[in-house]
Amino acid sequence: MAVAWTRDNAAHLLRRATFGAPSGEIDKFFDRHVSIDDAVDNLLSFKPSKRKPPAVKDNGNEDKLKIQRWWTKQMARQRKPAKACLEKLVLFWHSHLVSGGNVLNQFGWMSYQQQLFRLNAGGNFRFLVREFNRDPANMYYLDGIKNKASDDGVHVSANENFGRELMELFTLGVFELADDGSPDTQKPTYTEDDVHGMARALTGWTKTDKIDGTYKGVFKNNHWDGGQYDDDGDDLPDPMVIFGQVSNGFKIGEEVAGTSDDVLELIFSRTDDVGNNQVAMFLTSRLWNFYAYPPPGPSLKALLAGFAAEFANSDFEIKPLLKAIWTSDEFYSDRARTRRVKSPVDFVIGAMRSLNAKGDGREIGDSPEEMGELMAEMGMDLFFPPNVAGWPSGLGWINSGTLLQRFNFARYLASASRGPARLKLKRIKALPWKDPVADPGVVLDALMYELGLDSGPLALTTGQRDSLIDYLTDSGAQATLDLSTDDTDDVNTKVRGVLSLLLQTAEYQVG
Amino acid sequence: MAPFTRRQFIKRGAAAAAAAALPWSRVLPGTGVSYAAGPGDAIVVFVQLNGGNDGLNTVYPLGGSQRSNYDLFRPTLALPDTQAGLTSWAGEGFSVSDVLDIGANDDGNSYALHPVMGAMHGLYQQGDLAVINGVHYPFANHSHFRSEDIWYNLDPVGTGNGGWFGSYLDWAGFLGTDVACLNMGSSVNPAFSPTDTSVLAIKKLSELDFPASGEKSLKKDTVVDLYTASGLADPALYPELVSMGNTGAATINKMEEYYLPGNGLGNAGKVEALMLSSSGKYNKNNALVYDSALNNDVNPEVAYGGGLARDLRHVAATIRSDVGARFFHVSTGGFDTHASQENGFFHSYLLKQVSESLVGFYQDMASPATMPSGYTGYLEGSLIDKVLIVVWSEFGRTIRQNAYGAGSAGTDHATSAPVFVAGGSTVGGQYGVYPQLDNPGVENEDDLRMTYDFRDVFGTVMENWLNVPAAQLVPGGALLPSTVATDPDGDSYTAYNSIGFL
Repeated sequence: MAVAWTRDNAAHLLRRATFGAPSGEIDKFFDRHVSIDDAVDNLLSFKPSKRKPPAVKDNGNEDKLKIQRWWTKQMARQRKPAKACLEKLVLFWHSHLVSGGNVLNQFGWMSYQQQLFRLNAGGNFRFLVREFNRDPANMYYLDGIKNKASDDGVHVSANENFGRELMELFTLGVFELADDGSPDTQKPTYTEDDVHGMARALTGWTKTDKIDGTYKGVFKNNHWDGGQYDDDGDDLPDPMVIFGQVSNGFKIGEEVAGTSDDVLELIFSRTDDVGNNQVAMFLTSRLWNFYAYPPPGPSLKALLAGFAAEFANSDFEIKPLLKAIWTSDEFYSDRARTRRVKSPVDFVIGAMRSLNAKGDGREIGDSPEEMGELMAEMGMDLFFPPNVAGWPSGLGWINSGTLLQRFNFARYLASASRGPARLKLKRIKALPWKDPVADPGVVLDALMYELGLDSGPLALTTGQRDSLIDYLTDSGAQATLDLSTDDTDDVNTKVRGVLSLLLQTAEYQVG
Repeated sequence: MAPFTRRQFIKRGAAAAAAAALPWSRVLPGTGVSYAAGPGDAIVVFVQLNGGNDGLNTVYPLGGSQRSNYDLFRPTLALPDTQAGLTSWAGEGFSVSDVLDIGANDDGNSYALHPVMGAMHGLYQQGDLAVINGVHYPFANHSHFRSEDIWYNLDPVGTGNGGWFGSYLDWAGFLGTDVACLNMGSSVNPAFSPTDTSVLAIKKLSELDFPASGEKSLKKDTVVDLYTASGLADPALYPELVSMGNTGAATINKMEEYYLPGNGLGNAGKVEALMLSSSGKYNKNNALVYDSALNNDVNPEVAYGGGLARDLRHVAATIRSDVGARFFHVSTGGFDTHASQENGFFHSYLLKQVSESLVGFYQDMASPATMPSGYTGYLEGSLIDKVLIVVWSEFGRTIRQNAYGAGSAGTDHATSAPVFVAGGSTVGGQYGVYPQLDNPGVENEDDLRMTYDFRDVFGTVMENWLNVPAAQLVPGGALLPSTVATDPDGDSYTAYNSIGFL
């Protein structure tokens, strides 16, 4: 059953696949397309982006601010839906194939990694993982660069860091999924022996070099294990064992790609007991979590298995998978609309896009900090994820401290009357401009419409609307608002004030 | 276990007498239930070492076969067992003087704390630090995240019933309006969640815009109204909105209390007023303000450097401010030392920070503090007998180091490690047998086996510190969920047994 093409669904699709848009741009997107398929094809028409973050110098706080500022600006300024769609997808890859500047001696590596994601965001997942293996940020972050065969000819001495996370977090997941899409702790996808074997197979990538204008890892055959070490004392080399298969030749290397000794081939052909490709299942569940809602959900595993089958059939091409997800009924369900909590980037960039505040990544209004710092305080320090599992999701984003920081941002943004991120309220056409005795209800409804809080499952209740009217009228003491210009006391205090309150609602943190 | 010191004996005797005489009685907020025994206003501070702390280089063997095996398995990472061996360390900026011997445990071999942990060694000699050897759980999982989950929900086999401390809070009857827990960080630790009460997570308390006044106050009231109403139209459809609504409303109300300006302290809120400089400005790095030099925050430069120290200082200020918070969580990262462990470099800095931060906090709580004039409503005097500090990590690391002679050496994910418990009421000493290096796990030759189940450590905290009756601590029950099953090493968890550190 095809999903109906309505303005409401168009707005939801734009909020999720991009960072949302002002009401006028939603109207245009809706008018320009004839069906969900057509709209999704347009979103996925983006080309690889060759933009590069600025160079870093001394890895100090200034450099950190600089690269965060650059990325924030990319996300906030893309008006073409397809380009914004790419930006959101780059954010997904940063959240899934995780490295963190905090652990690297050179966090400039993170800008090279950003280029890798911008070039391959909509490409082939297996190819992306192959490139990620030799991405310097990853090599330093997860110790791949130190993972080499012992030179004493006897001991196996692999560093297991990357080998474990490659399976646990990047490709297979630690457990298979239960019916409701949450992890089934009875069904691990790999064993500790597989971790040992994988770590040995991944040895050899111990050097980086400048290749094609960027930096990549280089394979050093003499640092590769090659199954030549004897650790069990029987005077015979111990072959590598992964998923019960035995070989002296397991590795990731260009020359073995596609052969049975290629460990990525091994990983990408793992299936569960009912034949689902496990890599396809895991990446599908990660994308579903990012774009739709976190598990559990009713029969979620069966739904994801359908998407995963298409993904595996396309040989792990990312765009067909996204299309399958974004054109599914469940993606537009009430559950999907109400049970996903916005990440700090969704919240900050989304609010700026909806209100047409462009910003340059620096301070907004009277904010004492740059946008990157504000989002860090909300729990999302771009380029510096908390650990290799990446960012939280759902209510993991919300606690007293992060919520208060969201309140602060709402106030900075709503009251920004100066600077690159200034809010020109005149742009909001539905406000009753030129009316010196405007009806507070009309003003409130115009703003609720602009933020998508006027209809659908996340519409504010009558009681909540009454609280906001009380605020606008000082509990009835002032019956009208002066909107004769966009610089009256009422506009600067009450209209901007109620806008900040709308941005602070729990309902706005969802969706 | 080492023989009791006189001080330990006195403490044990006192605890027994206290239990007999039932001198304490209290009513928890929002409940009609009163509890006997234990400090009525017990404080717990959890310190989590993120990444899997290398327990074998935190408490390491000095003698016997344990030492020879240690040298064998860790050719370049083994810590010195003689004073002479420490000479090169002094040159690296660590003020190490001698091997920090903590004596023999039940295997007859002597052990030592890492050479940089002089501060905690002092606490050990004073009888206020318990070293609980070989703590882990059956069916050990080597993933950081799965293993953390297990420490949070106490269930290595299934998915548990959510965070154990959250369950405790609900069982003890804390209400949605109570804010007994403060997490120093940008997220609520999963051990505290879910719960019906409110848990604050605060990274930089001082940078938030409170207290509100005028138009701000009007907005604040409106936000509380909006949040109180969130998701109530259909709680089943909107669980996230309902939860966020509770968090939002409780947070704003509690923040007002935290930030209620103290008498004569200008605009400084109650907690931050304890961290003012001589010119009256708040700074998160300031020492706590006590009445005289004698009373002052001890050794602020050394003990209170770095993020962990800063967080613990904020905990100290919050405790002294008496705003109702009694349970704290702080964490510090970097312990995932797959490499760069030679000469103990990176790992040494981490342990030095832990040792000095923890003891700095300890001394702050033990200070006979009196408040300057104008400071009212704060707790004065030593509070250390009411404070319990528990230091843990999701797992220890491999018996063997990696990278034999091939670059930068470290250790990989493994199993058991020591847990530290400190406090004025703690019975110090070593507990249990150190896991034997030549008797590793059946499935993994680099896994140290376990001596104690971590649920006995947390169970002891619940029973002997938070006054939960032992009957509530049945494995599989509401407060100690577990599935009884025996792992390949023959370990299982069938019954709760308290450990003698409390």
